[in-house]
Amino acid sequence: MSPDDVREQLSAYLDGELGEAERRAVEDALERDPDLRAELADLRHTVGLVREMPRLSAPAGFRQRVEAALAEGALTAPQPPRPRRWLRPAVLAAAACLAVAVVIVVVSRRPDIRPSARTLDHERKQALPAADAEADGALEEELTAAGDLAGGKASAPSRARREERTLRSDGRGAAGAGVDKLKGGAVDLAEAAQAAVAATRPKAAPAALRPAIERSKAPHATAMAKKAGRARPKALKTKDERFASHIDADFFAGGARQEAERDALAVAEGELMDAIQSDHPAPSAATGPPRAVRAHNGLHAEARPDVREVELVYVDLEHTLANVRAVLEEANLSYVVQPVGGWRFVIESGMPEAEAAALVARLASPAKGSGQRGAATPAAPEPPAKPAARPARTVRLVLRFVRADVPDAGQASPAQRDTSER
Amino acid sequence: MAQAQEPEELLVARARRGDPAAFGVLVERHQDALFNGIHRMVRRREDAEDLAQEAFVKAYRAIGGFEGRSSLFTWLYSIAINLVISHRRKMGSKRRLNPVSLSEGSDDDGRGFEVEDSTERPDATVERYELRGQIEQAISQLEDDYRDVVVLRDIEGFDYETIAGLLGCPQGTVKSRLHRARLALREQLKDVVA
Repeated sequence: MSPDDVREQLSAYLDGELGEAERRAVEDALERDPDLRAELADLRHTVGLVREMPRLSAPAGFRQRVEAALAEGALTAPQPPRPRRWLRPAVLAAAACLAVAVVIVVVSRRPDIRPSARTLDHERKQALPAADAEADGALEEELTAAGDLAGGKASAPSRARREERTLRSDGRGAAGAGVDKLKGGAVDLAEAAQAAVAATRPKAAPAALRPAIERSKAPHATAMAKKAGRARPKALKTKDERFASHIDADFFAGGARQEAERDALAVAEGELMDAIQSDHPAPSAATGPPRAVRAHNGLHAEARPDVREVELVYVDLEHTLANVRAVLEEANLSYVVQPVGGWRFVIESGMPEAEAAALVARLASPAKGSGQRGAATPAAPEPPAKPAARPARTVRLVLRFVRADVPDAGQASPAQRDTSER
Repeated sequence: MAQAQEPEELLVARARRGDPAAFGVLVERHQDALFNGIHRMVRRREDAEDLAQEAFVKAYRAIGGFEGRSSLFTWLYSIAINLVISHRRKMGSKRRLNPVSLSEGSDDDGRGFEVEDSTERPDATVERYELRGQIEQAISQLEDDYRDVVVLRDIEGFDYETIAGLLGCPQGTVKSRLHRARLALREQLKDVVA
């Protein structure tokens, strides 16, 4: 061991953190080299000074502060541990399979404005980013192949390609199996998009929809984020940063080794996830619950022309949230995510009216939202169709997300809604 | 109170079942140590209070996932460190060096430093405070990565393996960072150390 190597080991030597052989090597070098001994003495003195620093105490009443914070809103009960990270791919794969069987329920149908599945599918493909377009393209091929087969025109190469794809990807294989359902879903997707535009809401933004988390360049959105307060989820930055790490049950698995990913913003993401899953989300404002009328089907409906509300049923929270954000961010839209608790959350965003329908269609797209089962459900009876040639205006799109397997107290479960509304 | 003497494992078990009082006892047991470490890392008392509170709140919610493979304090610390890193990113202070108040820690409630020795000579007291100020300053001048390992090792007393787990880096990195941090401190404190 060279003198420089020995020097590098001095701190570890002081701390008793060297192996037997290294320790002996350092001690041999120390015996021979007085400079090294002086260096060790300096280091020991330095460490001693730091270790003698007085310890600071938490402020008086700190425990009460924590207890008060726990008593506020959603923080009153420990949450069950999240699935371990190694399980997530399996969960996502399962969600992807389920997504193929996306079922979109429209409470109020408007057959007069219902676009064809072909039109909607074309629009969706146009809007998808390149990366997703590839996946979508594969799905499209599946549809074509299925159509060919149905028409007795399937060629051997197309069958071979289809089988190859099925082998390559479990998810694609599942997609192939769900082609027929997807076709049906695309029709309903069109209805969902139109229903989103047709739904009406009152003027005041509901208090419960105030922002807990926000991504926006707009000044008003920043101000809203400040209102969200300390215990609320924080703003997120980039897509890559979002799901980097969580406070997982296996935080210290493998002998005190924390997961290497520790993106701080993902901690906020975990907080958001927790709040969504919580039974009692943090109160969003002192002003109480949103002004809402509970309609016959248990969904909220209000009367204001510039707010559009859609309810979407999802399967996988993480994936759905990521997908929705990706779509909104790709459209360069400001948005606010508000945990409502009980696996429900609300996303609000302002946009030109014309974009709202297309956006909802994209959000409900099974190719993008592999964990999502979309169900657009404007609850109020639709107003009569207004004359065309209305000037373009900005609307507020309110997307309410509910988890497919979490029944809402006092309401029909999503599954029940599915059947009853169809 | 009987709870105060209750073994930590039992308190954890009760907290896992949703008993906030049991968790409150755990807070009281660990609040000073956690606050001290966070404060040394972020250097602002108000921030340290907020982060320590947030760490406990998160811990309560996540305690269902605590399996006892590390000590509760280490687990709490892991949550706190994530929050500290998040805080730094938000503040944009990853490499920014802030001056630290020499009187920091003794400002608000009189509990900042340990009880002083009443028999100490006044000039010795002044000297001691000056020395503390120098050490505080030297620690605060360290880059975040270096300061973290110094806090975790020399102030909190964690071993290298635990520090590596807390920081999510190899033990070798902990070893080299710590050595460089100590060399930097020695340089900063050369008038005192020499």
